[in-house]
Amino acid sequence: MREAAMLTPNNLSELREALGQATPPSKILAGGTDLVLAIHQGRCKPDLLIDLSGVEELKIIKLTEGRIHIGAMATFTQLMDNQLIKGSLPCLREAASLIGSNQIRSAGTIGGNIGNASPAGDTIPVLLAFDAVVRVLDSSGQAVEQSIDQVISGAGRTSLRRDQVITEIIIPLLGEHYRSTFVKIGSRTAVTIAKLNMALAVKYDETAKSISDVRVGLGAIGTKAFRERQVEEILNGRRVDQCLADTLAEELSAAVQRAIPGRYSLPYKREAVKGLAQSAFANLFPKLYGGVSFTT
Amino acid sequence: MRAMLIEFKVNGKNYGREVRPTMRLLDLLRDELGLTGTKEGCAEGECGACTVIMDGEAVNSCLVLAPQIRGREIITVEGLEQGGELDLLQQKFLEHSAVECGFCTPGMLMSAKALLMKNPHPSEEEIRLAIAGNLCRCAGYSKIVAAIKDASHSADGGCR
Ligand SMILES: Cc1cc2nc3c(=O)[nH]c(=O)nc-3n(C[C@H](O)[C@H](O)[C@H](O)COP(=O)(O)OP(=O)(O)OC[C@H]3O[C@@H](n4cnc5c(N)ncnc54)[C@H](O)[C@@H]3O)c2cc1C
Ligand code: FES
Ligand code: FES
Repeated sequence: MREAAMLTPNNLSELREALGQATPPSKILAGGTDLVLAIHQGRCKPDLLIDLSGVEELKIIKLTEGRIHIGAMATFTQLMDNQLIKGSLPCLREAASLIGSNQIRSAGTIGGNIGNASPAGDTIPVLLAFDAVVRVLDSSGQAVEQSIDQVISGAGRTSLRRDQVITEIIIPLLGEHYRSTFVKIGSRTAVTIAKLNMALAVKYDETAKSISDVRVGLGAIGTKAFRERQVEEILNGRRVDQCLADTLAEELSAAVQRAIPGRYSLPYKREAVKGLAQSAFANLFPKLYGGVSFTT
Repeated sequence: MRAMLIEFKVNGKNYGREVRPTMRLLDLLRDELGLTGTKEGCAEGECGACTVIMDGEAVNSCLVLAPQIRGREIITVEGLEQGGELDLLQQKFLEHSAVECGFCTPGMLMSAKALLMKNPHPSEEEIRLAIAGNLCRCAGYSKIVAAIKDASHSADGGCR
């Protein structure tokens, strides 16, 4: 095998130049927790690696005009420690804290989680639930905003051109009456059928005790994570009680059935998702469950 | 071979080295610098035997490419001992019989060290979380946790 070359841009303009040299087998290198493994195992044979670790601009997390901008090179540890994320996006913090091990969290990045496009990527359901957009830069210096759904095209596939890179993930903040949570079962080493993850966000009306603007992001089912709009519609406007938790469980089970009909993992996942629904609901409305919070 | 010249620091010492772009940090440490305390177990990020500290954070050196450490500072298990004296963590691991075959020990020590550098007085839960990516198939985690807790209770928190 021919040894890959590596470019090590130190800022965004050098990065743009580097992107101009990319060919189809070239790869962007972020934290390396997926890519170094793939290269070492011979699954990926890039001619050129563009290492982002020297581009400091990509590590910044900031709030601008009601939207949180997260640099693509922000690590999971950074997401866990950041005060802005802690205060405004606790559900992203939860997802980051449940990833891999401490070592994986201190190297792995949010940009790499999208770039890797694993159907089980843990930040993806959260980003979908929050209608996050991704800022993509190309070698000509043009930057566009695309939805997560546009960028991730299938299992392990993105729609990014070879001269494009994700620079930021932009998350519009929901108002103060929103509650959100992330739950998952199965770690990376678990067999695929034993994996599921979900983000749930709702607007909660304290007086009417009802929810609206329900957002459900589901992952590790099928080829890519998705928003479950049908379930969202059914839950909108409903009063919060144990009966609603059961409805969520049943509706999600039906959604899994719709998403992967006939798949051998279906019998397991359509049951497991019910437990996930109950945990998520308990996290959003702990009082209903006597204050117990569930981390799966 | 397309070599790259990089500069970095390991255990307080400055280095300049030519490396292949796809050489792993693990191989740079073991094969080029002769620092064989860092172990290769699974080679896929699961066992933690290859854990080193990079700019204050514990990372798996089997998942970092050598050129990515340019301008950075690495601490390996060889860097714990100072002037012939074992680091407090190392002493406590011995006292608590937290070492059996010893294969996991360097990685375990580096995860523990990274924790104590950030958080000198961790709770038991924080200790368990910090070493959750380090597998040990013999000594047993309770002895390891006890050793780390003991090191953190001593006056300087086990940190230089
Ligand atoms: C032991 C272990 C446990 C893990 N556990 C989890 C887990 O629990 N949950 C989970 O979701 N993941 C897990 N992962 C997978 C991995 O850590 C994540 O997917 C991580 O987010 C990858 O980020 P990275 O920075 O390491 O990416 P890299 O490995 O550097 O890159 C991954 C891919 O994304 C592309 N890419 C990276 N950055 C960009 C960018 N800015 N623009 C365009 N493309 C880009 C790369 O070209 C590559 O194809 C685990 C991995 C390991 C080894
Ligand atoms: S050898 Fe690196 S984690 Fe196992
Ligand atoms: S002491 Fe043998 S693996 Fe931990």
